[in-house]
This record gives sequence, C-alpha cells and structure tokens, in this order.
Amino acid sequence: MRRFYGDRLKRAAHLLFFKRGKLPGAKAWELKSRVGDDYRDVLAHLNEILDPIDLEVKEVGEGEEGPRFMVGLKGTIKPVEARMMGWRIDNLAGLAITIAYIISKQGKAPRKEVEELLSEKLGRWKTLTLLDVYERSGYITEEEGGLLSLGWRTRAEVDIGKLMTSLLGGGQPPGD
Amino acid sequence: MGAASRKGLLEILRDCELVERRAIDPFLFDARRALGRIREIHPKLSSLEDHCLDAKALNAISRVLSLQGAQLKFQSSSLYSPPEVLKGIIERLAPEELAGAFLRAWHPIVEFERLTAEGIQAGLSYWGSLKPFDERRRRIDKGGGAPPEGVDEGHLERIGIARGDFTRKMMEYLEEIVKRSKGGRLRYWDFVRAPSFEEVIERAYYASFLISYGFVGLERADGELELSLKAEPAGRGGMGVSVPISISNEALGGDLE
Repeated sequence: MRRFYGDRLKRAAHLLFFKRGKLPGAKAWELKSRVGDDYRDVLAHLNEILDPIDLEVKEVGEGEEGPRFMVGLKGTIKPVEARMMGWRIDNLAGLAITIAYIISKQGKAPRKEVEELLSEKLGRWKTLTLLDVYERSGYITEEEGGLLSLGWRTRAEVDIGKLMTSLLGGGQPPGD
Repeated sequence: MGAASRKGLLEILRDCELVERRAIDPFLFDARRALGRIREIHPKLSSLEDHCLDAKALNAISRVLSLQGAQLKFQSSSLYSPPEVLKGIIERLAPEELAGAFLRAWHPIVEFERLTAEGIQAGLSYWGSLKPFDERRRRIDKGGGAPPEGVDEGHLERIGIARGDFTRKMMEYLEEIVKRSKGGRLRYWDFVRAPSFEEVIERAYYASFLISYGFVGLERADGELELSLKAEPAGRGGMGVSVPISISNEALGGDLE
C-alpha cells in the first residue's frame, strides 16, 4: 500500500536542497528529528519523485555522526554544461589528475608530487591556484605533513571506479 | 643503551616515518630485519627513555605492517594502478581527454544558497555598526583623499601594468631576480628602480605576486628590504602577513622622472 507523506516529504526536500551550514545536505539525526523515524522511507519516496529529472538522494560517509544525505545528479553532464557551471576544461583535467594520483598512492599523496604532476600538464602558475580551489571546494584535504587525501565532495560526487577505468583505458569511455 | 643501539632505533623510526609519509613504498621496509634489530637491542635497554624509544619503534613498525596489509588489499582491487603507470597515461592524454574521463564519472551535488532573515539581519547590523570610510581613514592616520576604486583589466593594460600574458611576465622578472641576486639576495629598491614611474609600479606589482606565491622572500636586514630566492617555492601563502610598501622618489634614491 502506498503511503502519503505530505509535509514530511517537503521538509525532507528543503533540508536536502537548501544549504544551511558549510556542507550541503542533512545528517541522519537531523532528518530523524525533522522528518521522523521513518525518514528513509520518506527519502525513498523523494527519490522516486526526483528520478525523472535525473536527480537522486545520495547517502555519503559513515562518520561519527552517521551518514549524510544529499541530492546529486544521477547521470553525467556534458563539457558545455560544465563550462556553464564555471568549470574550464583545464580545471576538470587537473581534478581528474589530482584524484587519480591520490588513489594510485592509496588515498594519500604528498602535495609536492601532485603539484609536479599538475605543473607538467597545466603549468606551474595554474597548479598553485587549482589545488587551492580543489581544497576549498572539498575535493581534497591537506593533512599534516603536506599529504593530500580525498575530500568529502570527491566521495560524494565522483565514481572513483569509473574514473580510474576510464583513465587506464586511455581516456575512452569504458567498453569502447 | 649504547650510542649504536640508539642510532639503530632512530634509524628504524626514520624509515617508518618515510613509509608513513608515502615517501617510499611500504614493502621497501624490511619489517623482519627491523624486529630482529629491536630484539638484539632489547637486553641493552636500561633507562626509561630507552624503553620509550624502543616502544616507539615497535609501534611505528606495527603501523608500517598495517600499511603493507592495506597496500596488498588495494593492489588486488580494480582501482589499482601503479603511480608510474598512471603518470605515463596522464602524460599521453590531452586535457580534453582527461576532462572527458572525469565528466563520465562526475555526479555533482545540488545545493541552493539562500538568504535568510537571520543572515540579512546579521549583514545589516554589521554595516550599521561600521564607521564611515573617511572616519576609519582618519583613525589610521592616512589623511583624506578619494576613496579607493576598482579597475578592470582593460584599465590596467591602458596604464601599462597588465600587458598580455601575466605568468610569462612574472617568470621573466623571477629570472631577472635569479640573475641579479646570483642565487642570494637583492635589495628590493634596486630591483624595483626603473627609468619611469609606470615601470617602477609594474616591477613592484609583479614583485608582490612573486612574494605572495612564495617564489621570492622579502626580509628586512640592516634597515633595508631585501628579496631572497627560495630554494623551494612555498606555493600558496608565501608570506603570512601583508607588507604595505610606499613608493616614493626618496625611497628610489631620487631616480624618478
């Protein structure tokens, strides 16, 4: 039997779409207190509504405070759309290099090595700016000792397996 | 514990630290040999300090063993690609192909920014409590004058500050500092000095970026500002403080036209 969630569905959508703190989305406890104990059922219903417009509810991380729920794109975007969102080809290429290299170093890579790799491809000047942008956006984080690791946004937005398969396959779509 | 034993433990700690900093492959560390060495040293431990060092070395070895375990698991996963292989691939691919690979794996998060009544109230109260600009200028004893204005890139080009490729120009000035300082130091005013005021401003402008991005250091020695070359560019935040430098004819030795 289909249940009707009414206002609780709206409340869940508002919590997930509108950014309130530093990070987008809502924590499990927030949803539980504002939407109810069966918030996962409400989110499943919201997912059905979002599906036709290529969006989905994502569950990210398992930190001390439990998972965080966000709304993200289900499919992918074209280069022209990325440019409209303010991402230049060089910036995207740099992000692909940074994430892939950190992965190849098992999740932690010295900042200096990443800088050298990016400099060879995109130039020294751009590298310094780009790494700052990636860090500010949450794609990477810098730990003590100058080690870079993947940030919350990479874990939320990037299909690591697909990225590595695509790169190792010479930049071609998997299966080509 | 003798000096040789202490040196042995310190060497183990140093090697473990290199592995943890990802400077060397975890499997280049011979844990069996290191444990054997600790076993040899153990009977010679006498003071509390010796025992602490011994425990620290053991703890470091256990962390390296854990990293070796993680590496084995990672190498058997589909994500594994040796960094050297990946570097080769990255070198071969054009930025467009790299960006394409990323876009196929990218599912951006949706986030709406919005204004709230509380946010507007906080902003209003901040601006309301801020003293007029002229008053603040007087407080910092800078006198009156016109308030600062923003300029666009075209204006900077017209007044001769921005000319074409910024990065290329900056690197040219860096090369000049390298040559003139002979790898050591160069007086700031000697570098900035030029026949025309426009050129002085341009040189000071590029010098500020070289300093901010950590290619060059700025220090005061014997009352003189000096530029010094950095062995390693600091990347961002080369200098942690803002240094206002007033350009006057006097500072330039009366050379300005």
